[in-house]
Amino acid sequence: MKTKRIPVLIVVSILLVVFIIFRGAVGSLFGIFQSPLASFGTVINSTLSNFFASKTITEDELASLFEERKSLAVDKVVFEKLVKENKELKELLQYKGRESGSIITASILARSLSDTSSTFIINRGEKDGLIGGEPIIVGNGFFVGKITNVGEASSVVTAVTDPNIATSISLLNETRTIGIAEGVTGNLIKVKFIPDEENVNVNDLVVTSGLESRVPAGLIVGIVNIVRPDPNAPFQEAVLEPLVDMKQFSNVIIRLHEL
Amino acid sequence: MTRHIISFLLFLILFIIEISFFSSLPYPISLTPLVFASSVYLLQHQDVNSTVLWLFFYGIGLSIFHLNIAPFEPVSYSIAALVAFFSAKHIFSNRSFYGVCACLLSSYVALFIMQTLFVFIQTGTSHKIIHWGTFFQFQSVRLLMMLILIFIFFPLAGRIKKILIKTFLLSEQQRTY
Repeated sequence: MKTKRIPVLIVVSILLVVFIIFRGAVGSLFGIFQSPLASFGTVINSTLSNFFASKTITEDELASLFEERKSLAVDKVVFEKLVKENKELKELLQYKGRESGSIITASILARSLSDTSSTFIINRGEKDGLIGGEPIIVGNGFFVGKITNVGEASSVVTAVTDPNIATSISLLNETRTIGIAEGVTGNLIKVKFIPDEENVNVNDLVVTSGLESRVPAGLIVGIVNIVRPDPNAPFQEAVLEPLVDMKQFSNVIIRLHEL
Repeated sequence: MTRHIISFLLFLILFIIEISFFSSLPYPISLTPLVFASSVYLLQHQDVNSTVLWLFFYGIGLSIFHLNIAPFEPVSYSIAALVAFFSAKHIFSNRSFYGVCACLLSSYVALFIMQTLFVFIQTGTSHKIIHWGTFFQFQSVRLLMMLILIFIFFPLAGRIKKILIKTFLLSEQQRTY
């Protein structure tokens, strides 16, 4: 019995050591299979989501309304950008400089198995110039998360809806309220400690503030869904709904940090 | 030797399918614990002892890929593997559906206790936020999906055994049905 177990332990140990030492290469090899599998799963997810969507309007109408909402959000952000650009020439130059920053695309390889956290793995790492903290964007400028761990050939992205990540945001209201957004259960985002005197309304658009060194301003984070005052303190909090569902995407854009 | 390499390759395939494909599917299918259920099922019902190591590898895999639910996943999964092995060999019948479910349940409870303990310690010692309601709901749904998976595996036992014999994971002498 003992003689049989010794080779098993040796084989297991060798496999583990090989796996851990060459995890970069192993990760790249896995990526070849993981990327199409994740894309296939995403396609099934999107198809089923559309199938089970509200039946009060047709599937096409719903899809069209979602697209329209996204488009309007983008238009509003572009408009806000233009107003700001006209007013402050210096900021225009800086912003343009940041806008022209290099970007790379990445495929999603795996997603977190738990709904207590919201992370996913992408097929880009140190060899692609990532250092951590880069924003992850989908569609036409929708911010979905940040890189929180960089490996040789892959990286971990923590979604903006994860409770353990904070993002500096700005509301597109009259006073351009600035706050810190944190993820909450149910794929939502919460902005706490907004002073009572700030005028925050439902449907206000929320974008990144640009106060974080690696995250540029103007990336769309979500839309205000609920505003509730804190009865015990001079603050109010806003619950935001992201405009995109990360599970519907299998490719993302990474905005590289400019040194 | 060949058996263990094939077993490890099969584990890798199932692991990749779970973290890439199943996790992209809609809720609650995305929470299906394919590796855990397969490992305990093959150990208990098909008598493939090497699959108990899958649980240990799974814990390591989750930690390497930063997909862990709780800290120290290799420890939690090793304890679950020990409980699964002990209950499969000494406590529950490997013939009945209920025996397989009981083995699965006991090993999952062991895993759940360890994960809860580590998460509790983590929340006490760091700023990590955990929503306990979501955590318990996640564990319940995962258990339910695991039982559904066993419900699917059980009627296919004969076919699964044939595949296991073809892939050298089981010997012809172990063919009992």
